[in-house]
Amino acid sequence: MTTLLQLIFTFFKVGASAFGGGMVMIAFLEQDVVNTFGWLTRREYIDAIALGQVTPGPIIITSVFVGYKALGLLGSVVAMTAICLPSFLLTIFVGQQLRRVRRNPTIQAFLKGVSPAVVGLIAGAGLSIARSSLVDIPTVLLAAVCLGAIIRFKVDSVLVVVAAGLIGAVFL
Amino acid sequence: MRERVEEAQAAGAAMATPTLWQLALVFCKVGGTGFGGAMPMLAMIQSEVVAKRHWVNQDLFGEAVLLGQVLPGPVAIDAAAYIGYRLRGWPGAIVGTVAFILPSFLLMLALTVLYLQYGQLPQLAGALKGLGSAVVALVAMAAYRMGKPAVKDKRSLVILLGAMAALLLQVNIVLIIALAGLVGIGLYRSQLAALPQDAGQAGKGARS
Repeated sequence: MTTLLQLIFTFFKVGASAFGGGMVMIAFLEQDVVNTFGWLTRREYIDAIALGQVTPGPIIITSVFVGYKALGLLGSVVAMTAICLPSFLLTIFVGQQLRRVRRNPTIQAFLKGVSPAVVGLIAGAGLSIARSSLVDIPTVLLAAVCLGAIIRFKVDSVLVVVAAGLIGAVFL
Repeated sequence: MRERVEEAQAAGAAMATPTLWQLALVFCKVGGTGFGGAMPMLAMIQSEVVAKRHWVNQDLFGEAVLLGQVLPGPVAIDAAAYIGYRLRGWPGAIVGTVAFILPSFLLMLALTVLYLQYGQLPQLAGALKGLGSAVVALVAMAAYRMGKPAVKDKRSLVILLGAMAALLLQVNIVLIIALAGLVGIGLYRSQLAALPQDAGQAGKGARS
């Protein structure tokens, strides 16, 4: 019961505060999922993100993994629902007021402050993920190659994840 | 049905309104085949509901994307919810969103069960190590791609570094976001209020 409430609260909170899209949520969830509640080890969380990336649809589908590990099938449904609900409701309510909201300078200024902070939060989560993922020289090199492939050559991220898994299976 | 839609277009009549079932099918298709993040998925939604079926016009689609970008949460889910809502009210919003999520939900559930069963096998250790490297690259890329439009001056760089330090010190994330927004109001509000409305909106369009 406690776990259920914690799941609902955690995923709802992240769903309501992760401005900027799916990857932001992944970065936000890490704090609670790994550190606060220990539903997943950091290793498992990283693997869950990779699985979320190779499945179609939004990356926050990673929530299904977390929910399942914490509380089985019910947990996966609850986690996914709770993380989607805030933006679902906000979209429709704000959508009804769209014109006014777009012009409000206070809201614009708020978002202008939030957007660099979100980048900082992603970078921070990236650092802690890197600390446990990049354990030796080959893993560092592989990450660099992946990054180069995505940024420089615009390789599709699904392809990068699959290729990295195969390279890992053969060489690491 | 399709003939009628085409006739209506030929006559320049209003947009066609889909049934809930048609709505479910289209969003299910996008959710089940949309790889590669938010932008490719938005492009698929656009081609299905605007270009191919003429359920909504480009303006309304643009509103959906704007909402998705400004509000928390995944852009594509926000877009599915908003388009569903504008087409068929609350039932449309629910059906559109659930249909969009369902395929990847089921697939992810299956992968999770398999992982928890077999993830500890030594044969998989190398593959998982490789996946870990790829995830680092994905997160770094997300920060880089969002950082370019978000960091325009020294002040925003300070906000970025402050937020990052706060996260590493385990400060609550909602608190970090709220503080950053208040700092933004302090720094930019008077400046934005002084701008003519159109210029303020142009600035927002650059947010990724």
